[in-house]
Parts: sequence; structure tokens; C-alpha cells
Amino acid sequence: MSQDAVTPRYLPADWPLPEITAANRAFFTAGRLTLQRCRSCAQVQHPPHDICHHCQADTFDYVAASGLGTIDNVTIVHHAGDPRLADRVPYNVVIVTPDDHPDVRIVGNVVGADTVPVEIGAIEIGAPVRCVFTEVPDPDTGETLTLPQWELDQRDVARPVS
Amino acid sequence: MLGSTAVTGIGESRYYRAGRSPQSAAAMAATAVHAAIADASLAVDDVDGIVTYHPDQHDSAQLWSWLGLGELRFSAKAWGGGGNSGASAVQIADAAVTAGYARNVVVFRSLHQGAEGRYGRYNQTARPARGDAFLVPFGAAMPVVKNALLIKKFMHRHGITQEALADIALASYFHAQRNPRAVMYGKPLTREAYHASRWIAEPLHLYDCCQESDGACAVIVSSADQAPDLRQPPAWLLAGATGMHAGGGLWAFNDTDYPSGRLAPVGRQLWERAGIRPTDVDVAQFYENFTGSTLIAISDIGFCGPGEVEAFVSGKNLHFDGGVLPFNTSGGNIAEAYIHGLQLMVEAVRQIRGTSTSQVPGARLSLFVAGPGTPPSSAVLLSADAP
Repeated sequence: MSQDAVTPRYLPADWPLPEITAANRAFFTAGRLTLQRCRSCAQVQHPPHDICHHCQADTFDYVAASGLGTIDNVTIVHHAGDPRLADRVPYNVVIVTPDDHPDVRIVGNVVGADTVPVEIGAIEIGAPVRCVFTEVPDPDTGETLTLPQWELDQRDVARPVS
Repeated sequence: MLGSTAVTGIGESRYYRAGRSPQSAAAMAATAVHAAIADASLAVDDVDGIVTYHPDQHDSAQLWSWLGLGELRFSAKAWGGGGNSGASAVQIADAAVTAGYARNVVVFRSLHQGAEGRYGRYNQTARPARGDAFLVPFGAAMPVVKNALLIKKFMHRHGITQEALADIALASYFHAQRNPRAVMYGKPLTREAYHASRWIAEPLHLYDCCQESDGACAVIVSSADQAPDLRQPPAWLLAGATGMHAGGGLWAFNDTDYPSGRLAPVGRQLWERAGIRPTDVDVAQFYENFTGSTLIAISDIGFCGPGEVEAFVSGKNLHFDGGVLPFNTSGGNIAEAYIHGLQLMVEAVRQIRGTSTSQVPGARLSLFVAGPGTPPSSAVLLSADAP
């Protein structure tokens, strides 16, 4: 499946969407996995921010990543903690490290048409994933947001995760 | 710091489940602060400074005036997230008194989660910004979800099992059964009941989570010269520390040294300033918002390596009666009450005085650690012996 595959929103439609800023617009609207790179020192940092945490410069490029990644961490949430989630539990939250930027950690959800996994064993640390996107209109501006999400991928990977 | 200050007074309101207190946060603060002043045998006008932490719902001028206190000479708030600042607030009071800016500084925390909103819930409608923009839209909104991820990764990396989490919960409930002030007094917990309890966010069960509470507590930090004339035996402040390592505050799990608790520097600073080793500590109170947080804190701060922590906490090792490291002897956030962790500081003082309901015999060195949670983290070390 290509990186621009579109998947329905994993969490309910009334669950909060991010506030879009100059720094995070590319990540949330590019429609492919996009990371922030400092124009001065060329370091990639995530989440994107107004200043570079390495050299404190404040101009950036936004670079495409392959969209292939590895599950670094996972939890299954069973208790809603908010009425908007009451009908959605259990749901998973994962941390993914992009294979081409292994020092970056991206929080998201594993999604999949026929596998909404509810057992922690179904999503294992070290499992390969591939980025897909949820398209949803910005509730304030109407701009199309593309939330990066993840599908379990069958490719072989040899990158161990400790 | 070493020899310049002591905790001379402690005070508490009654502790309740969230929403059950008939008193407001201000009224409970008044109860706790005036109880601490009376406990110290100070006059109201002797107290001349105030410190708290968290975006508390009151500002210091208002609260100070409502409490009928005298001329204010020092006011500060610890800067940082949540309960991690509990010991930092005490350290700030210590620094102010040591510097001579005030003579008796009250450190307090008062919460009415019934009125303020329960800390375990999200319930926010504004679109998440900054680091939260990379967490909340994906469901990492409630504190338990973020902590579950940190704890899960720590356990995975270091081969820690669910039994270690159970040991923390069981020690907390064991001590709470001896403490009539504890909300969970009279409600003992078994290992079977722990494992049978529902998941909140894996690997955290219900009993891995701190309570949501209403209540207030306060301690008074006084200059050393007054301590001999006051009613209570002084709990000498040997050392305080607040900090984290470089890069510890980066957003959304991109902090350096993940999955640590980011409080190794707090341990190093504390042991160096106090001139002791972790093995010298007689009793410890850890801010356990979740059980696994304590496993991380125990290893971060230097009691053992992360791979050794499961053995370190197993069996009765955390019990007051003969444990290797008696832990949360009032029941802690999990089984006494969650007064944002400052009630752990009150218990640390009781251990020095010999008045805990789970008193560690002959306790001379008493530790309070606030972290990992949201950095910077903090810790203070108390001594029964004048430095």
C-alpha cells in the first residue's frame, strides 16, 4: 500500500484535532510523512518547533521520510478518561520510529480495516509498520488535515528494538 | 541545606475521594496551614513566606490574605510539571530561609478535584497545541496513557514483569491499612485482586493508578536557630535537588535518555550534597502517580540498576517492618490520598519524629522523591540528627 493511502479516523470524529501552526503544518497537512530539518545545522527534530533544539536557529526545511517505520512502544487504553472516548475503548496508542530517522519518535495509532487490535500482543514492539493518512477537514479553517497513522506491514525487517 | 533549616511543623486537612470534601480548596488550605503553624508552636506572624507548585488555583497574595497571615517577605512557586515539583517547593523554601529572605516559609498544596476537575481525565475542548498536538489527537491525552507508554517501554527494555508493579501497589495498600487517615484504610489488597482488577492502560491496572483526591497539607521550613526552641523535634533538611539531564524536557517522548525517569541528576546532586549513599537511607516516600513510575525512580535515583529493580521491590522489601527500603509508609498517592504528593513530604517528616503509623524503627534519614512524571523532578533528604 502506498504512503498516501487514506484511512478513516481512528478516534471519534469529535475527538480533538491539533492546532495548526507554521512549525507543524507540514507534518499535519503534507499527506506524506514529513519531518522538520534545521536549515542551519541540518538536524532533523520531532516534534517540529519554532527553534532548533540543536543550534537554536529558527528557519527550517520540511523533508519527506519514507513512511516505513518500526513499533517502538505500544499501550492499549481500556479506560476512556473522557466521555468522547467512551464508545471507542479499547484503543491502541503506539510510538513509531521511522526506519530512515531511527532517533525520531512519532506517537500515533495502528489502524487497519479488518484488524482493530485490542490485545497488546497483537501489536508488538519491533513490528514493521507503514505510514497511512487520515484525511479530515480542519474544523476552523476547512483545510484538509492528513494525520499520520500506521498499518502493520508484512515486510521483513531486521532492526531490533530494545 | 546542611545545617541551615529544618521542617518544624506539619499540617493536613482530612483527605477525601475527589468531589467528597465539603470544604473548598481555600478552606482546606487554611486548615492545613494553620495546623502546621500550631504544630510548630509558632505564632501566625512568625510565618513570613509561602511556596507552592502546579498552576494552583489561588495566587499567593490572595491566599496569604485569606489565611490571615502577617507581613509577607517571600513568595515563590516551583516551575515545572505536576507533582514532580513537590520536593522542589520544599527546596525553594529551604533556599529562601538559608539566604535569610524569610525565617519560616510554609509550603502547601490544596486540591479540590471535585471543583477543579479530576486529574485522571482529559475533558478539554481547546485544540491541543505545542507538544500536546503530537499526543492528544492520537489518544495519548490522559496522564495514565502517557505514563503507561513510559512504563511499558522501561519494563520491556529491562525485562520487568507485572509482579513488580503489583509489589508497589501491595506495599502501598499494606501501609494504608495501618493509617486511619488513608482513604483506602480498611480496604486491604491481595495480589490476586490486583491481577484481577481491570486494565486502565496496559500495563497499568486499576490498582497501579494513584487516587484522585480532595485535601490539603502543609509543612513549615524554619531557620536552624529557631528549631531548638520549637515544640517538635526538628526534621533537619540535609539536602534538596531539582533537575533533569540535558534534553529531558523535549516533547512527546523525544526526550533524551527515554525511557528513563530523567531524574538521575537529582539523585547525583542529592547524594553529593548530603554526603551520604542511597544505602544509608532508612525510609523513602516516592511520588507514585503510577506504580511503575516508582520502579523508574528507584533505579534513576541510584538505589539499584534498572535490571535489578524487580528484585529490589519484591516480597516485603518495601515494608516498614524489616524491608530493605520502607516505601510510602502512609500508603502514598495510591492508597492514602493524592494531595499532589506533598502528603508524602508530611509522612517523611513523621518518620523523623517517630510518629508514623508504620514507623520504621530508629529511622534517622528520610527521603522524599518527586518524579519521574513531568520533569524537572525533585527530592529532599531529612535527618533526625542535627548536621
